[in-house]
Amino acid sequence: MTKKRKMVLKNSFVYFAITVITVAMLFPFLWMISTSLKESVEMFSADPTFLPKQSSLQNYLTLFKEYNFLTYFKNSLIVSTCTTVVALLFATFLAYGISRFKFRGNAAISSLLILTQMFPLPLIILTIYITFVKLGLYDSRAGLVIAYCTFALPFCTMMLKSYFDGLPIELEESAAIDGCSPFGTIFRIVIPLAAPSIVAMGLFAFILSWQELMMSMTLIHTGSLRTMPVAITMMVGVRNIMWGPLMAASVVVSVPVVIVFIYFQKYLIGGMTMGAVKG
Amino acid sequence: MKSIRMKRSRQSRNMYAYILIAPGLLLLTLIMIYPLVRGAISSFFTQQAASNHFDEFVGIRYYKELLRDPIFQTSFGNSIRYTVIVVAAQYVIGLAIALLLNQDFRGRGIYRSLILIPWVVPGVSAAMTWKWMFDSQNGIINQILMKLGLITQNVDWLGSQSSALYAVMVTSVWKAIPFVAIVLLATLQQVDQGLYAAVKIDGGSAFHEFRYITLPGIKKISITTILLETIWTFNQFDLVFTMTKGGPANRSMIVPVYTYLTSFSFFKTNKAAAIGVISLLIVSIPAILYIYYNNKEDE
Repeated sequence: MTKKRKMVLKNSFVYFAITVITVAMLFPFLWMISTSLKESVEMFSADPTFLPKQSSLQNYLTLFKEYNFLTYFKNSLIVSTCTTVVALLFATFLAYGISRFKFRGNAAISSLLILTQMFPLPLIILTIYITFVKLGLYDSRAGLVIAYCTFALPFCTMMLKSYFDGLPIELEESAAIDGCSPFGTIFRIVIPLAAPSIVAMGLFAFILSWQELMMSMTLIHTGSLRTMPVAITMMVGVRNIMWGPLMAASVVVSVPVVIVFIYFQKYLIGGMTMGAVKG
Repeated sequence: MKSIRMKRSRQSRNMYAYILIAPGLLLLTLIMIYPLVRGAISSFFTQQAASNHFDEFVGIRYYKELLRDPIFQTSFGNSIRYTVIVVAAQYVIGLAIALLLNQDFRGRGIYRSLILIPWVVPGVSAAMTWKWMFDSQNGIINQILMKLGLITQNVDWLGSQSSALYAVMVTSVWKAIPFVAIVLLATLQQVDQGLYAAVKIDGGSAFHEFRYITLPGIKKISITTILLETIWTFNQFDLVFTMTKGGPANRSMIVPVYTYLTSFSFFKTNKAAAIGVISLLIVSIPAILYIYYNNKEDE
């Protein structure tokens, strides 16, 4: 009886503690959504309520009409999608090459991939900026896609390599014996097998590009090519900050990512922990 | 005869490997290795802003200049403080959450998903949301503290010299906790449950369980996670840049933001490169340790 009581007590402590922590962790995200739905009178009330008393989409209308946010949304979508495709294309072959072939410099490349993740970005971007101006890639979405490969490519390669390391090589060997060409093996055997993993890495690359700020701010000059994170930082004026549209913009950037992540979390958490543990 | 054929097939295999890795490696070299090396070299030369040519070799002039630069010194101290406090706080809180989520209770999966959200929220959105919450006039944090009677008048968290950096730290910790918690949780779930039963049979307390089974079980992953977080936090740019831009009066300036501003607001590219090289040297300490521990783990 006492043992059972102890269990109940322990359980209710766990529930209580985890609920308090979860609410605290979620509060800023929910507050962002709630603020974006409030009208300005309510937003600046001295006695705020958690749920809007009168929800309205006014802030979103302002965001898309006056702040031109649809253009930025479109730019972010284009750049992130292209980065994902380009990074995956290069990463799949690179990861497969490192995983399956023992050649000189193999280990060095793996270490290099990890190290590139740790380079201070401002140092890299100095040269990228100068080089891109010279090559005519400055102020273009294509240039931004290439620049985004600095984080997307090493990341995807590392993750895919550790995935390929775990795939049994026998299937590929028997395909080769059956006369499948090396590239045929990749396209017919490896990529279909690794598809879930490749999709997960693609989502990661997409999410990382979607929220990138520093390079986009540096390499894009024209307003109509701007991506969302940069547009958001530019909404902060010198004196007045329009919190309503600003929170609406934050929601527009966050919510797709949050939905995608929650929906695909099984694959993504695997990749996330694997990347930290194995590198 | 056989050996020749084998040699040839090995050669063609190698050839094939090089074809596979060449494009990716070439791209990496162009966008990462070359910019890094050229950036490092440029810290020893003078150069016209945004020009492609070095003018004059000046040795360590920019490094000497940095030693006398008070803003650099502030940003350096701030970066160290920022990194140490943020990493320590996120590890302790992350571990606590991981231990809670490792208990067997109904709805665990849902809690785990929900706790992940701060990590997923893009940096710019997180920064803006906390900026709004910290707002001196209408921020919810002041309103709550006022209701609780903890403050008597509104505090300008991000605008005051003493609190700005700490306010950004709160945001940074909030955002990184889920990563630590989930990675530790994944490892906790691999700890042999039999060991806990053994401690129970021997009459050990919950503290013994934690001290002799849980802690050794998560030691390695803790070291690698802390090293990784140290690197990420030191290099973090978005939060400080969006929330304070290093202000007021540079009191929340950190090294990455100062590097960026030196280059793209003050147009001192070579000086910025020198700061970049110093950051690289600092970050390489945890980076080398990380690779060392990571390889050790594989053995």
